[in-house]
Amino acid sequence: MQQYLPKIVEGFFLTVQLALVVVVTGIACGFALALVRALRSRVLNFFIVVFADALRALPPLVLIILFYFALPSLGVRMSGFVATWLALSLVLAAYAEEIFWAGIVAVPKGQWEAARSIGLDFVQCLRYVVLPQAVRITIPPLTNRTIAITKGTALGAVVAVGEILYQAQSAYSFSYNPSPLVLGAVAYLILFLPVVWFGRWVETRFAWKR
Amino acid sequence: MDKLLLNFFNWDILAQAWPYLLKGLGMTVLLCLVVIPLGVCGGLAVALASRTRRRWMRWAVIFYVDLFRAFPPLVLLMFVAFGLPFLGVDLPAFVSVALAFLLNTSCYYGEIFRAGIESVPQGQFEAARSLGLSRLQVMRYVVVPQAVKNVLPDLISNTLEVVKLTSIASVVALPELLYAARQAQAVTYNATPVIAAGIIYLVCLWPLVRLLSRFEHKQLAVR
Repeated sequence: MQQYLPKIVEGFFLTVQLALVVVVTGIACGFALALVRALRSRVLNFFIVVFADALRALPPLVLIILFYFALPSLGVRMSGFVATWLALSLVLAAYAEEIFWAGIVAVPKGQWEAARSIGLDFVQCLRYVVLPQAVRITIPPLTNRTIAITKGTALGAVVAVGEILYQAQSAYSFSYNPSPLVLGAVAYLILFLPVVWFGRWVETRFAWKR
Repeated sequence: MDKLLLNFFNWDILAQAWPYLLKGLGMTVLLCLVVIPLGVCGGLAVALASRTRRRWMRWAVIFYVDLFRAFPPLVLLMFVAFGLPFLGVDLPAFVSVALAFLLNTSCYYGEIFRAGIESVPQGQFEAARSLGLSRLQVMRYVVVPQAVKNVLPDLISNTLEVVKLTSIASVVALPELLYAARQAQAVTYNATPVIAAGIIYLVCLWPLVRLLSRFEHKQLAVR
């Protein structure tokens, strides 16, 4: 068991890395898309809705496999890390866009009108009036979704990303002994238990009444 | 463009792979039909158990839920499929997948049901109890129906996630849709089957996604 510990630790940090880049790019892209959608351009919105719907309907593993195994036949090659990062970021962006957009829409129309009538322009209105209210109510659903998607980093094992699960699995098949799997499971607990608790805390902290 | 058509939208290959894909789709549907009811029932049990007056039981439930929510589903699946045999529990692939999914989804459904039950006002319990209903009857006839109505969007959303999650069963060689597509891809050395599988998922799940978008907008409200 001891000999595999360094591998699992290595995988642990890769998982953290992958999760962080996914969270940052996914939420940033989702936020940007929601802002674009606030412009209410019919053409742009159509594409955003199609993007968001498609990525919420496709299983992430299918996307990862498409990027990693299918795109090379078009001459687009990427490492497993990039394929996983791209797939999960896109999925998170789709969910985040929908959640932010739902938040923006939830701000009553009167707020827009009042803000515009006191002389704020569109951007100021969004920046100072709508977004502060919208973002606050989106925090609980967004946190939960983000946590769920970061757990998808384990899917990277399928395309040979050396994260926890992959390390545990290859050590397992090498030694034909399940203790690396147990070690991997413990690593996941150490990583995600605090995250799950954080999610619980956020839910109560930002709770809203139905 | 030709390259794209040849590699991604190749009709000859699709015609060859189609029977396999259909078989895979059948397995995915079967898996959903087993896994979703199991998860819903498990979740309901978890939610009810978290409402008991016995403190140790409440703690046990919280422990269970947090534990299995902390594991990525694929990790759980690997553990059940590759780890359990060493304990002398050798399950067929389908059963290991069902077990792993039960452990994972019952926690998520459980949390949703719990939120639903908590959304039913305390007065409803008291009124129902004072009418002479037993605790179980109160849950069965008064609380759970209202709870389900309150959290229906979350239930549907989680069900969508579970359906998508069945694709990870391909990793332990359960011949569901994605597995069939990947096998066909390996044999024909062409990506068309995987694209086709993606399109099948899209077509099946799109209506659900649309439905959820509607719910989402009703749910969030600025106070």
